Amino acid sequence: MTGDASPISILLDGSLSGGGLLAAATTGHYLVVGAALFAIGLACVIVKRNLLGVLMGLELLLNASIVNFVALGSPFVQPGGLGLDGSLCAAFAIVLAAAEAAVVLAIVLHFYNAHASIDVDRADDLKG
Amino acid sequence: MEAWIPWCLSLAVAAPLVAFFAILATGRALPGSGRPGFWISLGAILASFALSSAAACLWWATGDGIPVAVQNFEEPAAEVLRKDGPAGRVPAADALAEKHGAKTPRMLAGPLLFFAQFGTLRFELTYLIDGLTILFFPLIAGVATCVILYAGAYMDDELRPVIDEHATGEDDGPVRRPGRYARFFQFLCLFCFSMLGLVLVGDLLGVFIFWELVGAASYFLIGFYIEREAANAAANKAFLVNRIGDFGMLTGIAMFVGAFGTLALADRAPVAAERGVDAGLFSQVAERTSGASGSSTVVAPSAGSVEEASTVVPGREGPIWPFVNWHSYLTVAGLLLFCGCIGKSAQVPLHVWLPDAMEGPTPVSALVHSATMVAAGVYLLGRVYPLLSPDALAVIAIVGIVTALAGAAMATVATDLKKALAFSTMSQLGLMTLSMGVGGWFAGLFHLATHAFFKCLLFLGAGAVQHGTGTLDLERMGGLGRKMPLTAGLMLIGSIALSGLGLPLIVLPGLGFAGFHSKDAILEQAFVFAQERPWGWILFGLAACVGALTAYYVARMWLLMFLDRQESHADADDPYHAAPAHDPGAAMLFPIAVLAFLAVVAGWTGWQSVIGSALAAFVATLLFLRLSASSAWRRPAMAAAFAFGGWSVLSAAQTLWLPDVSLQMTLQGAMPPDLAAAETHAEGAVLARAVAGGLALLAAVAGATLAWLRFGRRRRLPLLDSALARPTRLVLLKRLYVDDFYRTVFVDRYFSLTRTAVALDRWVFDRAVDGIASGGRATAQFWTKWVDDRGIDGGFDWFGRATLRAGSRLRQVQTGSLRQYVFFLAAAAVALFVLVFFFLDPEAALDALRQTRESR
Repeated sequence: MTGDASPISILLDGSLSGGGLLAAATTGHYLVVGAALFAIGLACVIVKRNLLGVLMGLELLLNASIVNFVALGSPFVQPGGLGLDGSLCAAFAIVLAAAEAAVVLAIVLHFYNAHASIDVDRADDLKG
Repeated sequence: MEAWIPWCLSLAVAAPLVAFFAILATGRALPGSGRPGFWISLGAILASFALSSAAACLWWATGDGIPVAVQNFEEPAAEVLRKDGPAGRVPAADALAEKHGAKTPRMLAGPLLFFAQFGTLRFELTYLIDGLTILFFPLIAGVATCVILYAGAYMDDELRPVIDEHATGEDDGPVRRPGRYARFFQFLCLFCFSMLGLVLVGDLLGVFIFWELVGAASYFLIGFYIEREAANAAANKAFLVNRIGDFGMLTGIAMFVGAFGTLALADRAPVAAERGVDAGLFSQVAERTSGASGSSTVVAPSAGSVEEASTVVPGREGPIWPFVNWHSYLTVAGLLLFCGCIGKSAQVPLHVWLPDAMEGPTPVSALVHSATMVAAGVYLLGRVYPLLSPDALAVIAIVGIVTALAGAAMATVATDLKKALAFSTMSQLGLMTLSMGVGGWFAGLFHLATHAFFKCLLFLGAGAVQHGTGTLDLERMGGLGRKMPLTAGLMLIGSIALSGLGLPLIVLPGLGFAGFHSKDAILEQAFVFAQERPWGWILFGLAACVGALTAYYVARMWLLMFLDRQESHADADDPYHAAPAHDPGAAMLFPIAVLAFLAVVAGWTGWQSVIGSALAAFVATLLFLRLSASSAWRRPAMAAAFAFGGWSVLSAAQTLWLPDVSLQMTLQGAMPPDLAAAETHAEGAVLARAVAGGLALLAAVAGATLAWLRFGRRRRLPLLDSALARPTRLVLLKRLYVDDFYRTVFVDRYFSLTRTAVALDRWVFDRAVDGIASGGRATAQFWTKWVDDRGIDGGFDWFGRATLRAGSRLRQVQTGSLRQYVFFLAAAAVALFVLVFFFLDPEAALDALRQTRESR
């Protein structure tokens, strides 16, 4: 173990050699990160009154799932395959997120045109 | 040739019917305000008359036609008469007649129209043609022709819209209505058709049909001025009173049918000759009542149906039912049949309709009182005479004399000209009925025929008087002889004919106008009748009284109308005196003149006719020569001279070469065999003729003299106007209170009964029905309120409301807040997660899933 090793290399080395910081990261860690992201995103969606904030929360939610996909799709987790399933799903999700963002932004714009505001609480037309 | 007679007569019947329908169909479409209706009916009735006359000529030409009175009875009539054709003759009946020493009258019978057959009972129209039919066809058609000719002018008012002063319209003013000229002739045609049909048919069914048709037509005509209340009531009265009689008649018919199983009067030859002859009522009744032996001669051996019919009536001597023998049965049936005649011929007690029927137009009265309607009753008596038992005939005679007396008495005080004539008709019909009752078949029908002429003449004259003066009130008339001399003269002829005045001893028993001879015949018959039965003398005496009364009221009528009176009504206010009376036009006078001619000559026969006509021609010629050139009488007198002279020549020729052709001979040829036998064997006929004729003439002269004394130029008999006579006069003017009696006893009772019925209906039945209805309604209301509204509807309503309430509660959940939704979503997901992982066993669930997969 050399002392001049950069943190990055430590990270990299560790992961490759089974030691280091990366070596300590397991699938559970990724899932925790994903869950945290999900919780943050959900809270954001719930709490934010600004539509753009809600959109950001949504992005966080999507990214939480992407993290999960990638983590669970790793060849280390599921041996015997190319290990691209999770990445493929992630790529799909990203595309989906882009499209979703476009749609949501259009909605935002329209909503703004209609209400001169992007306060979500103003969108209560469906109140029973 | 003989076979043509039914055809002629059927066509003669049909012609007025065709005219009726023609006028009915064209109706208002007729151009010229209805005048064509007159021409159509005149054409039809003339055709009828021509066909009837043709039939009469054929009848005289084909048959032996020699009346019973002059024929030698040894000649078997059957051989002469049993000819081919539709006529069916019964050998048995001839045999029967020969046994009695008289021949059966010549008769043609056959079917006209078949309706139905029930067992052996046939419902069909048949014709029965004998001397009676042959005589009455031209008579009816001829009188109807005169009446229609007359009415053509008389009804002129109906050509234009009419303002009827006698009827009350909507605003209490006179009724305004369109003229009904064509309709009048339409109904006259129906009337003639009905009467001719009645004369032609030879079965009781047909008799009843046409009988009712006559009644219906008379209803239409009496009620011709339907807007007038009186006319309406009179028409109803005539119709209803006749219904009473017809009810009895129908019952009588039913009794005859029930006993003898046939409706036909004469024997009927069936189409299939081998079945024998169906015996008609005449031969069956004759067999039943006479001493003829056994039914074997009547019923052909192989006639199955006839045997059945005759088994209905076993045993000539035995009773038809227990306690009812044949004689009483026939008496009752005959009297019931006579009920119809009582109604139609206005006999007591059903005479009340006749005076009221004067509400109809005068030509209708003329027709009703001469050839149709009232004549139908006496005609029917003559037709069914052989069916009537001696007891029934006695009752008929009594009814007849009562009617004759009552009618004559009422006629003596009547102040309305037409009503006086109506009572006179009633009286004369009573005489005819009396004559029938005492066996004077010939005399009654002879009087019916002659009466048709002079009564029609008198009515048409009355119409002319009404036309000229605008009134029918005898009290207000007087001195019309100057104003309407021709009418006065013609009516004088009619009056003399009716009164029975004549010249005695020129020819036995005398020479007079038609009524003289026929009334003599009736009295003579009553005389003969009385010689055998003591109570008949009452009849004879009363009949003589009727003769006197007749002369009295006829003379009174004529004197009141036409004679100048000293105490003339001087008040100029009377509209009658202001109106210039005048003779009617030729169109109205001509028919009257024809009838007057007939009223003079109709009673004569043989040399009587020659002498009488020559005498009349002589008188007319004298008159013509004595009259000044300016007199209105001059031309009529000349015409009369020519007419009577021609008739005299004609009669001489006829008497020399065709002795059988005459009214009386034809009628005598149709006489029922029993009577014919009785007449020829009657002893002292000459004596009867002389005595009865003399008495009748005396009575007539007495009556006429009395009238002259009272109503002549100076009223000489104050006794008849005194207080003593007043009650009688009042009773007679009130029509013997018979109308009042009927009103009190029947009409008012009936009305109170109807009122009771109405009250019963209103207070009991209506109430009950109303109660049921309102009960049903209450039930329905209860049901609606509590079951339907509250129960079923309420249930559904509650369910709906509950759903609505739940919905509106639930809808609170939808806050519309996006963030909240998301929060709930997240919370639900967390809750699910917690539920699954902490409260459920996920492994067990997975195991179960796996197991199901494996088991598959």
